[in-house]
Amino acid sequence: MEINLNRSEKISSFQLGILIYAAIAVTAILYLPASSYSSAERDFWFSPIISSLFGILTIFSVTKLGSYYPHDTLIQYSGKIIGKIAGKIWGALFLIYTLSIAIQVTWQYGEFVNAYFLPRTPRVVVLGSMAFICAYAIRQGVEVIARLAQILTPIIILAFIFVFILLLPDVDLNHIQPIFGNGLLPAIKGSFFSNLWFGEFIVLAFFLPSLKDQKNIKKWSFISLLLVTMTMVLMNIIALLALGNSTGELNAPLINAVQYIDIGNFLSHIEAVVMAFWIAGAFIKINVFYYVLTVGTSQWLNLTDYRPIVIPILFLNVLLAIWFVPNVSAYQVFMHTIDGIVGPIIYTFLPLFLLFIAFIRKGW
Amino acid sequence: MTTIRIVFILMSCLLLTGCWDRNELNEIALVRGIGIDILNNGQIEVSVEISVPKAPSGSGGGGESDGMAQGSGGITLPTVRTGRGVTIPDALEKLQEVIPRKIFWGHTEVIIINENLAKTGLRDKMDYFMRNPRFRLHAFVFVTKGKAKDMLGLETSLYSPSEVLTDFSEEKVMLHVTLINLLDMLNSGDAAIPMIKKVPPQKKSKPTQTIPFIKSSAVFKNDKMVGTISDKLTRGVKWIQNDIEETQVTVNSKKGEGYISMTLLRAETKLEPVIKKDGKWKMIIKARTDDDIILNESHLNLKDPQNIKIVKKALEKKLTARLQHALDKVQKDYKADVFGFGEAFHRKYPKQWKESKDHWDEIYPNLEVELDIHANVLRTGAGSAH
Repeated sequence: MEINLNRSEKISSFQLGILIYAAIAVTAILYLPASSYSSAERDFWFSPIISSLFGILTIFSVTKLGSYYPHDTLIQYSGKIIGKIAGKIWGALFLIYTLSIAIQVTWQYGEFVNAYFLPRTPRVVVLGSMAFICAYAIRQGVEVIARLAQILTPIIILAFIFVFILLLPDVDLNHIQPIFGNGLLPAIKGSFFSNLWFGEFIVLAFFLPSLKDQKNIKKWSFISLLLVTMTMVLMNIIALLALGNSTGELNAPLINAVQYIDIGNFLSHIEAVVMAFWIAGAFIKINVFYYVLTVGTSQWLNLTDYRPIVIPILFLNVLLAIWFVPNVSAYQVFMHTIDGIVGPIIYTFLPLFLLFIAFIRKGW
Repeated sequence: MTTIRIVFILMSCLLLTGCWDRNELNEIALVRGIGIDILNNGQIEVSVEISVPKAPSGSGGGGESDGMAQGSGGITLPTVRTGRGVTIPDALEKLQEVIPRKIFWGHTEVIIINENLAKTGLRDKMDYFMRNPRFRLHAFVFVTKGKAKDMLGLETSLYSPSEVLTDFSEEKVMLHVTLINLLDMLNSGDAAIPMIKKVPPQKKSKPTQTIPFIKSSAVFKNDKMVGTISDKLTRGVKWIQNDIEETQVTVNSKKGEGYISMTLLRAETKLEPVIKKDGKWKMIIKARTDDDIILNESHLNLKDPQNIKIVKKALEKKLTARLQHALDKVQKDYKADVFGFGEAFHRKYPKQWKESKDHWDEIYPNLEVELDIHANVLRTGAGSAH
């Protein structure tokens, strides 16, 4: 296969916007609602709105940094901003944490497929087959991933809308009241868990150099942010309205809500269909994080091309996803502590700090 | 090169069969209903009603002429199998021993719980259904006085007992509670679950040749069953829960000396919690209903608006009595908050609720309840025989 050293593939801002949408929204509706519910209770649907502030900060710093260094990714320009050594250290931190996120995403996908649909299928097969097609997609380059998202994301959004409409007959508006009965504080506490998802907009930094219309990216990433927030809020609300007080007792309330759909006794048991689309979304998400990880690592190591390390890194990921997370409870503790604190620091605050230094050096 | 690619793509199709988790229809036992009983020694007995898809029997022999057997190609013959153990999964393990196929939970529509078991608490028993990801939370829950196993084993002439019960639930004449509703009620207050009974079999047929039906309701305090309420009181409970769909009400006014029946077009009940200035809690139940007269056996001339007013007053009186009756029994006797009063206070007065929710058990039985019932009689029917 011919390897292209100078990246000539180009994607559009619109493609990147929907790529990021799928990459963030898909897992945010799975296990996150239960976590937010644990501290916000029936106000948990509002938490993503508070968290979206982190999305605004992240997008702002990433796009601004991108406009300072239009041909570099986060790993490349951090060296130029804070010096070579500090840049390498920061790059290593970022890559290690992104590796942990990639592992978590892989694990979530495997856990979801195993727990709800294929309980007897070995984890290696579930994750390995996904990593295999991801390796293929990533080696084909960013254009392929972006086009994939362009095809799949509209279908995924349609599936979300479909779920929302089909659940309307089971809605009980009483379930959401009282709104902010204990003030805003519980919802803010609940947003602690969702901050990370909005920090994930940082992955934009690795796609900006491939854009053919960088001037539009701000617009499309904020549209993407809006859609992500809307998806999370609407899915949380519909799960809450359909399931009520039981929402907090379910690991992935939305799946149970989808299972609950029963229209006139004939349109029921549609969870397998809906979740097939979800898996398509998970495919995009995993692709995005693997891409960031391989491209970032190759740049950190000053390799001329990222393709040779695609397979090793994916192999590492699958392996760690099997070893790293022993069970659901352990994952939830990890998500509630490490991800809640470290996630926003690495994905939102440190880039903001980078921007601050770059601003001092370069001016507005 | 192209050939190799095509061969590779075709070979990858083999991966799509899902080797480990294939569920062939002829290898699974579709569970339609599950019954849970408690034995005298404290063991749990789980019975499942299984539909076994069978090949079409050709000439349609036997008694399958009730219209269910035709068309779709297969007849499902329900069978009931039982297993015993210390917990539900433990019993299921024994159950699997007597079922040659793999038990499949995805189509379970009905859960029947024995009364004695319900008295020991539901939450622990429901836990299995919540944890099993293949179990549908849309399954309807029932309580029965006798053995749940016997209910599933009835030889219904139409279709299986589970289907009969599902249909009854969907008719919504009596209570209808799904697994998720039940959990919701247990989390926010107390629960009421429909209670089933056998329809008395006809004289010549066997005692098992009948169908189950929803006769009354079981009232739960916390998660333990504390008593039952009759079908009449259940209607009152449904009124307060704002769950009245379709019903006929018959009143007998003194002036008219005869019955007047009405059909209910719309009914809406609102709970209005009030915390008075002196700190006393009070609940106002506002019920509004529109009705049509469908039968008049009284002397009242319904063409006269004054008489309509009399009917209206009689209806309001009747409904007030019905709701009061339900309140007396459930609120005063059983002290169970199946109406969601606590939730209503929570919604309207979140702060005060937070302070008082731990004493709710003391507040609730003595809570002042005001009934504000307003009925409208809209039409007097298409014609009359008088």
